[in-house]
Amino acid sequence: MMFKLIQSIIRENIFQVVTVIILLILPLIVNQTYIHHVLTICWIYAIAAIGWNVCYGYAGLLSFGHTAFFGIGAYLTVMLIRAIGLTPWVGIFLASILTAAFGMGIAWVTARTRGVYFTLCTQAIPPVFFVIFTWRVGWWGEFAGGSYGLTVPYRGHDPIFMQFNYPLPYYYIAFGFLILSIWIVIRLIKSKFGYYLRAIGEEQDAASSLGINILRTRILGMGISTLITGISGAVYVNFLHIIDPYEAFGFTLNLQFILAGMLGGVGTIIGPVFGALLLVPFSEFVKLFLEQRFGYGLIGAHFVLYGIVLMFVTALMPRGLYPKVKETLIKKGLIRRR
Amino acid sequence: MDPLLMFQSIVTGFLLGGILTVMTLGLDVIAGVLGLVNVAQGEFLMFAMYAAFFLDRLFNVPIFAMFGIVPLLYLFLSIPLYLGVYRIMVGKPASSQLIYTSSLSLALQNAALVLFLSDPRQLYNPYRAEAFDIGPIQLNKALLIAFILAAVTSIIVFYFLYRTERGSVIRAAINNRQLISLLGIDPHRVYLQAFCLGIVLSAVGGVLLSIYYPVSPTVGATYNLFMWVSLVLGGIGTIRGCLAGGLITGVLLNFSAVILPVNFRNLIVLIIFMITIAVRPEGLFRK
Repeated sequence: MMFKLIQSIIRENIFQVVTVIILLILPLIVNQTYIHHVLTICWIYAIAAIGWNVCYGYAGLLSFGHTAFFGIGAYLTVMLIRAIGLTPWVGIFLASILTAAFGMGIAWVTARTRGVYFTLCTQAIPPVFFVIFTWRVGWWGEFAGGSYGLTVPYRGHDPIFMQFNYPLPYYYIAFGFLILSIWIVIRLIKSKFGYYLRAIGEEQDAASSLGINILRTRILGMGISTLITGISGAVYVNFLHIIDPYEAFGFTLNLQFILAGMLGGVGTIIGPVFGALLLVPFSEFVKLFLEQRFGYGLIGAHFVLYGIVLMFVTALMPRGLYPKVKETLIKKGLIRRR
Repeated sequence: MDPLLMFQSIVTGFLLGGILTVMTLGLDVIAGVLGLVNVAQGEFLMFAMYAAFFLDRLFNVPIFAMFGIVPLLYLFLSIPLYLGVYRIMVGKPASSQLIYTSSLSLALQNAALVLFLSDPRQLYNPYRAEAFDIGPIQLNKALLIAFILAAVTSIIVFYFLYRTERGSVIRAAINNRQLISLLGIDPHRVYLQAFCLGIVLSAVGGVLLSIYYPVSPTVGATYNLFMWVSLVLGGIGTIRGCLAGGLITGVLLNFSAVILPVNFRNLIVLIIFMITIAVRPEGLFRK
């Protein structure tokens, strides 16, 4: 019985299952630490982009403040480790739930805003946290680390505290959380609530006239979006072991999530992963190339390229690359339309 | 709290608010006519500040000449900029426009970082260290000059918008973008004119700021925030609201720097900004 069920699931989603298996085996075949590192970063950005995409792609709310939730997720995880010695295996979930609670608060505050106003409002969130987290006075300065940021206390090779000497385990951790996020989004869009969310994304007034509770939908939708973004921040800090306010609450990280989401495909499940897979190796390559060619003088040059790529993507294919590729594949008869 | 100090901070904030008004007017005209919130406006401002700095350092151009040269340069640059970069975004959904202009802002900011490095630079001028004593309070000469120039610019812009025909077309476009084409006016011409006006005003704002404030590649982001605060306080698309919004923001910025720790000065403004958007998104002065 159980076996048959699993068999039918695999048969229906053969493409997805094969992809997951390939990605699970891939780091064992290509056994290079650098590749593992880059791919881990890639999955972490993909999780964040999925979170951003729930907000923009489904609910139609363009957020420029998701880096704040990323940062809060990361900071809370480290604070839990430092303050009460909580293992990250639990801390990641706790921190992301707290982040989601905070995100729902933000959604409540911004409930009346739409379009440009929502974006401007969310854009003001990271600078607020930047000010709070760089404040170095009294116990808070000790607790939050000021502008130096916080580090995860070093324990050597300690699987219980998610610390490893080599990046391969992190790859699997990040990949696991990526699968978890994708699962959350699939459950979300297949549920009734997912239809509500997409309805307000299409046309808020029409959705409201059909009896959808706009406030509740927006708050819960933002909660799920920030939950996923919080997971990404929490995994990130356990991988790199340091977080500082310039990174967590700056604007560049935010634009990378947006670029990953936009490049991959807005309002699709797998699009942001696709975008991150294109973006991160590309940016690593460009950074390395510029460093080898010109030394450290061109330190911001790859961001110039980012900006220009994002401009082209927004102007030419505002729904992203993935829907276009999918359309082409369907036309060639390689995959079926559902 | 010393009342004199508070009064002093309010007066200084008023002077800063004058400069903010000019900057916000540019953003407001573009937002009102093109229906596009230009996130990259702060970066144009930053490049104007660099232009002022290099004109001073390399050619020893006096401030009053810069006040003419940089806006003129921007006027010529704004036409290809509109046609090449901005025109495709007119009439697109607001989210696309925001992502588009903010990625332009990212590119420009990092281009400035590559070109000019991250050191803050300050235009040399003797007025920065001097002040007029008016009774018990002091007015910094450089800020006062900037304020007077800002006031002159605002008067010229208001004269243009309220007393000339071209200006009234722009105001009509702010009121109703679809309707002006019914009057036999080519909307793209109006968009171009409004865009040029906005960019030129950002150049003026940059020159005025560089008289007193240092410039580094990241100042664009900071001033962007201040501009939005005054834009939202005044209400997007209300020209007179800008005047009040800029002055209120300037006063708030300086006043909160006095009563709170220095690094909290942005916090008050940001929180007021968020509350204003949440409670009165149409601005404080829109009827």
